[in-house]
Amino acid sequence: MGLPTPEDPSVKKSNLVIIKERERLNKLLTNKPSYMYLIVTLSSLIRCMSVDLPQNYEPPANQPLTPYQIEDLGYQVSKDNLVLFMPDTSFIITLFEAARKSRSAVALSQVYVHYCFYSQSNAKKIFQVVCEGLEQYDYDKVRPFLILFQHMLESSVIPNSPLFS
Amino acid sequence: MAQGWLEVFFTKVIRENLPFYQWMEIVTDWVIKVAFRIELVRQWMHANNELWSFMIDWYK
Repeated sequence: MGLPTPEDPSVKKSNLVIIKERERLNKLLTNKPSYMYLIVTLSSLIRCMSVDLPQNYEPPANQPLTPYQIEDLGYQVSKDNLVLFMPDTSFIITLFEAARKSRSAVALSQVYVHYCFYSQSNAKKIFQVVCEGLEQYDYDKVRPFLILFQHMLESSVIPNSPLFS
Repeated sequence: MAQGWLEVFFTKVIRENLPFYQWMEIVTDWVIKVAFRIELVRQWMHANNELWSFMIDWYK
């Protein structure tokens, strides 16, 4: 994924390119958009947000707050959106079950570990997701839960983690 | 916390699923992969042999 290259109007396009572009624009207007990268995009957005730090904890300077933080843009998840992002465990299990591709499962795992990094209650909730997901689903659907657990274990060894280590 | 998670994972989650062969194969592959990659898991398994050695017996 990258930013689109600006078009050079002086370069003449072939008829085939013009037809393909017209079809693409037409599809964007009429068809439902592809949600292939939706989970990855949401994960990247939330990983650019701040997380609540525990009281009296001073994070090391010039370091990301969590292992999966991309950037701290100073925004936080609003309460309305938090209901959607951290619902009941059973809903989060459904979300992980739907993340069949590794890319989606990794993105989801990263965002949940990022959000729960300093919160004991949320971390417990996420571990509950792992346990219940592994118990509920058959062998061909447990991979996303193992990926989540792997991310939790990987982040638990990071020295600046006040909770996980 | 991670040590507690590992204990629950091995003693509760895996033990309850011992009758399911394909599930056990997937999870055993994952355990081996994670033990190779994460030192904490390796150290925990080394220190708590009695909590996961049933997996070796299961494969006999």
